[in-house]
Order: sequence, then structure tokens, then C-alpha cells
Amino acid sequence: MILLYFFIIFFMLTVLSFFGGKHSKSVSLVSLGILTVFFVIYSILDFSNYTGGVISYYNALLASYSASGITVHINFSIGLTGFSDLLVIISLLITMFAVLMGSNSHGAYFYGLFMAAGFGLAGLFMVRNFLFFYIFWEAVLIPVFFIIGKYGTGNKERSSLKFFIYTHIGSLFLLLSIFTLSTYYFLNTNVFTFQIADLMNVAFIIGIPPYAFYFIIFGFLLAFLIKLPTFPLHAWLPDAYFDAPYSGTIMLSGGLVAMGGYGLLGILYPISGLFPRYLVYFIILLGIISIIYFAFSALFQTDLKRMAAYGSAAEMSFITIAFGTALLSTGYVRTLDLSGGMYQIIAHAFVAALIFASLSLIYKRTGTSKIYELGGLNRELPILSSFLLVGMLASLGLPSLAGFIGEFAVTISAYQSIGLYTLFIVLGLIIIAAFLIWAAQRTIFGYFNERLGRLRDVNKQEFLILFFMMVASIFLGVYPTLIFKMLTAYASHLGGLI
Amino acid sequence: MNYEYLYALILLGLAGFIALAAGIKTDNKKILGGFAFIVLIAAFFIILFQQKNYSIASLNISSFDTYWALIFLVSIMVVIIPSMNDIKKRFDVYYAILLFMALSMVIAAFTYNLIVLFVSFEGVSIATYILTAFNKTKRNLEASLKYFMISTVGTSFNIMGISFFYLSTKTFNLNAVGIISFNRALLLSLVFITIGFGFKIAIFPMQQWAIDAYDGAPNSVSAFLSTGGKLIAYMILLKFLFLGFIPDYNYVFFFFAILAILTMTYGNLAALMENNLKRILAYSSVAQAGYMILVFALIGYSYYPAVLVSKEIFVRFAIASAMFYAIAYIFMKAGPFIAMSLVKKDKVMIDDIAGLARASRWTALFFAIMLLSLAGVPLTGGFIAKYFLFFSLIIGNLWWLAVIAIINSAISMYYYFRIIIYTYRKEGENNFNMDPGIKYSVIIMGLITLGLGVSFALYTYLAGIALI
Repeated sequence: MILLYFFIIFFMLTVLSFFGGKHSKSVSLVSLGILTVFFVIYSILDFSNYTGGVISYYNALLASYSASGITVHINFSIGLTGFSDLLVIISLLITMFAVLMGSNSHGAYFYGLFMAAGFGLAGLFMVRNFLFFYIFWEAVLIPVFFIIGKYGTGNKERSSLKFFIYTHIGSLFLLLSIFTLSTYYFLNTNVFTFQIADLMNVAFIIGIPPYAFYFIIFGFLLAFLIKLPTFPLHAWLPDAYFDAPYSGTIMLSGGLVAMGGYGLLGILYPISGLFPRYLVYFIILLGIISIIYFAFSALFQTDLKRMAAYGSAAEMSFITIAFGTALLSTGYVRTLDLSGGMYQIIAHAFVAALIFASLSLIYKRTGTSKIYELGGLNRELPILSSFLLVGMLASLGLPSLAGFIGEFAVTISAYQSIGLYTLFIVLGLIIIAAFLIWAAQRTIFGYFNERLGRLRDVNKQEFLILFFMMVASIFLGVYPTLIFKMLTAYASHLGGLI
Repeated sequence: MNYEYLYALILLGLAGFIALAAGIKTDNKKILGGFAFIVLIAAFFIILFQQKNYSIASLNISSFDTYWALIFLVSIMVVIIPSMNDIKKRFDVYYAILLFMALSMVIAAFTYNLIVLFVSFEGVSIATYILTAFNKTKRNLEASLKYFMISTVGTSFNIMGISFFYLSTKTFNLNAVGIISFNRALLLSLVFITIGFGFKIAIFPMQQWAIDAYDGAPNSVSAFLSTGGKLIAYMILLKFLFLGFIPDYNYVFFFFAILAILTMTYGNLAALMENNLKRILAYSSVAQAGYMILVFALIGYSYYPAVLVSKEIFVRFAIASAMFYAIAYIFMKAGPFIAMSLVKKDKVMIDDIAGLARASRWTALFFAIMLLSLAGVPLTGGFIAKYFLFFSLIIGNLWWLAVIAIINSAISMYYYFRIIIYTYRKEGENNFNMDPGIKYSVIIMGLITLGLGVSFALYTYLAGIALI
């Protein structure tokens, strides 16, 4: 029940933030702060003895119809798993960062939209019903569409449309898959329902004819892989990231990308044991191509923001790989693989937020994010460029920083299932490292571009924001157990399902 | 005999004459409009609470018919207040016509006799010819003339269709159609009926008049034409196809699957290239008609052997989603048309809407919500209607049709969002005439659209009363 109250209060605070007027930023920040503290305490209490599965489950029957042997149930149910609990916390924190990084000139709508996106994300990770899953899946898109389309820069209107239509096509196929699942469930039981627990059930899925099953997994994979994004489905990503305001980019890279990862590992995984082998290999192949392709694309970008966008996509490809390779392995390796993938989502949120936040502050001072117009920032902005450097190092997977844990876990467990092909993943990692270090060399170090003039380093408030993100990145790198414990409990439970 | 059903009809008819008579003394739009509104609300509640589930002659007063009657009344109610701004004079005649039209529509909702259906349908048609030309500007007259010419063709097709139907079934009463064997006359009747009523619904080859008429008519009349005027033809066709064509269901499926695909694809593609805002809305209403007639295809398909689930279930779901579509459609389609009155110009291009958000942000927000609802975005009425329509397609094993519909739905996103983006642009906030009547109509209709987006219980209620 407490979760339901949390949900309702979050919704009311979201509505409130639209009416905040001049105080909208502080209203959103205070409400997000309170919600985060509340939720963290709640999850510490709730997850102290977590052993996998859905806990703090709440279910309400919204509408039902039954006659002549047919029953239709429309439920609203929420619950948390170890994974989704962490994602809710992440979405709260990322929304808070995004609001903090928002410039003070924007009106109440700006912060209201961020609150709405955050609410959509938190709702998405909480619901255990496919109807509401779809509703929240779409509900996140709308505020982000407006954030890009209204407050963005450059070709913002086209980018926002592209972003929306791309993801919407994916989600419509997701919708069809949900319908097909529900129809076959009805054939088995004479009950129409959209409950995730009922529909994502191997015992029931195994009875579905193969063509229907392929249709279903096609829809799910399309929606989730577009969102992640994976190689051929990524065209929305660079434009949307680039034209969004910096806070919007933080929201996109930290929050929205987690939706795809959550879809793969949190929703689709229980039935993925039934995937045909070649599909699994194909998914792994897509993941490997994505890493290498995105890393190479990032290498040749002339703009730091666009480079970081491709870099973020390359990082997320580890989740595709973790999803695929975990299907080939068993036992502890599978658990490690899955929890590595999940960990990567969480670590990536902080790391990407740190990178984009420092880029945002650099842009504020220099008025540019082009690599060749920057250079030697270390001289004028020592603190800010150190933050950027930490972000980049964390992103390339330097041990003791956040990115390392997930990438390492995924890579070593991928070796157990695909053998020497892991070399391609390592190759991707090397290119990721290459473009990040090369970019750092050209912007942070070297000769200072004198045309930029005198620059002012971070003030106290900006320092605190970045410092918090940096501490989070380091903390996740040196003390992963806190989170890893929850993830492994959930992952071993998942592994047992298939 | 139970004559309770007559009360609402008598009330509406009398009120129409009273409005005309009052016109001798006054042409005050507030008095006349208020009177018409109160009468419609009274009729609404009389129909809502009257005794149900009995039939007299060819009238059938069930929950299904009552629902449609209520919807038609709502579709007239929504244009009463906005038209105070659009219509320039002779409000007595205007509101009397609306009341007479309400009378025709309520009769059409309850009757199952083809002659009565035809007459009441014509009552609505003739009324709308007058309404389209009501302001007597050149644009109005041109639109009305086009509409009149084309509709007359449609009418003659209707008469032919009904005659052929009688020829093969020997009855005008849809309730009394028994099991009949397939014959050519029935097939001809299906073709003629589809063309005749298809003109009014604006199904693909018969759509072009609608674009011109919606564009040229006064905004609130366009709002009515694209909602109430369309839904009555839709309901008649629904009754007709569901009850009348049992041996011909193969043809029904074949016919309407193709027509639906063509209609929605044409509407969406044409809207992509259009810059005139009212024409975009008109094309979108053609596309919406395409989604709505998927229900007919599904009714036809229910007689195929390849069906997975028993046909009663998904036809029930399909008709329930058509009924939900109807109520959601009234608000989400009439709202944008009414919002066109906010722009000072007569011919509204897409850049004329730029800056609406600066002029009034709540209006812009709810305008956007109605467009989102047309696009089928969650938490709006249009979403639930589309969601369960596609759901029933999937249950009926028509995946390919659902996929085509969904791709169309994704294409349509582009032009709806294009309009929304324009409303949030920074320039041109002085283009608008913030009449409070229109402004609050738009806001209230947007709120209702949002409210419908969470009324799952309404859908399940409709599923309970869906089968005729």
C-alpha cells in the first residue's frame, strides 16, 4: 500500500509543479528530494532480506466484465523487484539532476515536463500490468518530446518528431505483441487479462504456436531495441541527444535509455529461454556490431555532445550482449551476466549524467561544444574539466569507477558462452577508450584556445551537483556489493525461471 | 403499450417550433442557445432514464440504441455554445434546425426499419445542407453546393440499396431479417448501401466532398459534420451490416477490409502534405473513418472458419470499441474544429496557429491533448478506443490488418505533432480572438477527452451492451 501512496503523491506533486510559476524549479526539486529520501528509506527497509521476485505487490481491479464464460479483467497493479526498485531510485535522481541543470530562465512548464517524465519513468518501472506498462511507456515520450521540441536547439522540431515517431513505431508493435499474448492467454483460460505475471509465464507461452510466438517476440524486441538503441534502429539517437537541451539529454541518456534495458532484462527475460538459438546469436551479433559501430562513430565526431551521445549508445550495447549471452550460459555465470547488464544500466545513468552535466557547464562558459574550438580547458577550468575527465574515465571502464563493474562482469561472462568472440567486445572497449581519451586530449589538455578568453570555473552550487554525481560514480565503482546483492538475488531468481 | 420513448421526441420537436416562434420576438443568441441547450440536456436525461429493453413495431429500445441516441444528443450539445461565435444572425432558425436534427437522430438511433432510418438520415442531411451555407459567405455557399450535389448522389444510391435489400429479404425491418440464401440482389444492395452511406462517412473514393465541405463550412458546423453527421451514417451502417447481410459476410469482409486500408492510408498520406489546418483535420477525419470501418471488416470476418476465438467475443469487443470510439471521437474531433474559431482569419493555415500557447496556454494544452487523442496516445479517449479496436482485430486473428492500421497510426503522428509544435512556437500571439465561449468549450472538451482516457469501466460496460 505504501507504494501506492508513493505513486499517488508523486502524481500530485507532478501536477503541482506545472502550477509552480516562478517557484517551479524549487517545487520540483523539493518534491523530488522528499520522494527520493522516502523511497530510499522504503527500499532499504523492504529489500533487506530480498531473495528475488516481486515484492510489495499491490493490485486493484479497475473494471471487469464477465458473461457467458468470458471474463475481462482490467487491473492496476504495482510491485517492485530488486532491479526495478533501483531503477525507480535512478529515475528520481536523474530527474533531479536534470532539473538542477535546467537554466533558470525556463518557465514552469519546463520543470513540470521533467517531473512528468520522471513520474512516467517511475511508473513504468513499478507497474506489473501490461496495459499500464504501455501507457507509461508512451507517457514518458510526450514530455520528452516537448522538452526537445520546445526548449531544444538547432533543428529541434525535426529531431523531436523523429525521436517520437521512431519510438512510437516500436511501441505500437509492442502493443500488438501484448494483444497477441493476451489473446492466447484467453484461449487457454477464458480470461482476458494484461497482468505481466500471468502473461510472461513460460508454462503458458510454451503452448503458443511458433508463428504467434515469433510475432510476439518481434514486437517486444523491436520496441526495446529501438529504445536501447541497437545498431540498425538508432537513427533517432544522435539528433535527439544533440538537439535536446542539456537537461533533456541527461534525462534521455540516464532515464529513457534505461527503459529499453528494463524491457529486455526485467520484462522479456522470463520467456526468452524459448528463443530459438539463431535469434540469440543474432541479438549478440547486434550488440557487438552496435558497440563497434557506435564507438567508431563517436571517434569521428567533431562535436563533444554528439560524441557523448554515441558513446552512451555504445555503453548501452553491453546490455544487449548481456541479454544474449546470459541465454547461452547457466548457473552462476548467467547470474553474473544478468546482474552485470543491470549494473551497467545503473552505472551508465550516473556516468552519462556526469558527462553531459559537465559538457553543459562547459557549453555555458564557452558557447560551443565543438572539439576543434575547445582545447586546453584544464588551464582555465581545472575543476570542471576534472569532472569531465572522471566521467570519461568512468565511461571507458577504468577500474574503481562505475563503468568498470558492469562491463567487466558482462565481458568475462560472455567469454563463458561465446568464447573467443569476446575479443570483438574487447575491441569495442578499446575503441571506446580511444575516442574518449582522444577527445579528452584535444579538449581538456593541450594548448588553450585563446579565442575563448578568460573563463570562470564552477561556482559552489554547480560544484556540489557535479561532486555528487562524481561521488556516485566512484562509490558504484569501489563498493558495488550494496547494489550487486539486490541484482544478483533478482538475477538468480530470473535465471531459475527459464 | 409503453409510449415513454415518445416523450423525448415530442420535447425536441416542440422545442424546435418554440425556438422558431421565439425568433419573431428576439434574435438573442444567448437566450435561444441556452434554450436549445437546456432542451437537449432534458432530452438527454429523459432518454437516459427511460425504460429499456422492449420493442414496439420496428422500434427497439435497448441499452445499445439508447447509448447511440445519447451520443447523438451530445454531438449536438457540443456545438451549441461555440456556434454563438461562428454564426452571425438568425439564431432562431439555426437552433431550431439543430433541435429538429436532434429529433431525427434520436429516431434513427431507436428504429430498425429501413424506411424510417432513411427518412431520419435525410432529415439530418438536409439540415446540414442549410447549416453549411448558413453564413452565406462565398466559401459557405460553395461548400454547401458541393456537399449538396454529392450527397444527392449518395441518397439515390441509398434508395437503390434499400430497394434491392427489400427485393431479396422481403422486409424493411432489420430485426425481422431471417436466414436467407445468398443472391445477387443482396450483393448489389450491399454495394449500393456502402456507397450511399459511405459518402457521409467519407470512405475513400467518396471522400473529396468532405474535405471541401469541412473546409468551407462555419467551424462549429464542420465540427458537427465531422462528428454527428458521420456517426449517424456509421451507426446505420453498423445496424445494417450486423443484422442484414448474414449470407454475404464474405463480401462484407472483403469490401470493408480494402476500403478501410485505402481510406486510412489516403487520409493520412494526404494530410501529410497539406498546409491548410482545417483540411488537415478533414483528412484526419477521413483517416479516422478508416479505423472505424475496420469494425465492419471484423464483423464480416467473424464468419470465416480461420477465427481463433469464438466470434461472439471479438465482434462484441469490436462493436464496443466502435461505441467507445464514437463518444471519444465527438470530443476529440469537434474540439480542434471548434478551436479553429480562435484564429481571426477565415482560412486557417498551419502557421496561423503559431503562438497559441502564448496567447492562452491552457487552451493550447487542451487543444494538444485532443490532437494527441486523435493520434491515439495513452491517457486520452482516443487511445482506449484504438487500443481495444486493435485488440479485437488481434483476437479475431486479423494480424495483418492490425499491422497496417498501426503503421498508419504511426504515420499520422507526424501531422498531429506538426500542429502541436506550431502551437508552441514563439511568434504570432496576436492572431487570436480569445472568445471565452470557444476557449472554455475547447478546455472542457479536452478535459472530457482526458477523462475518457481513464474510463476503462465505460469500455467494459459497453462490451456488456454491445451486441444489438
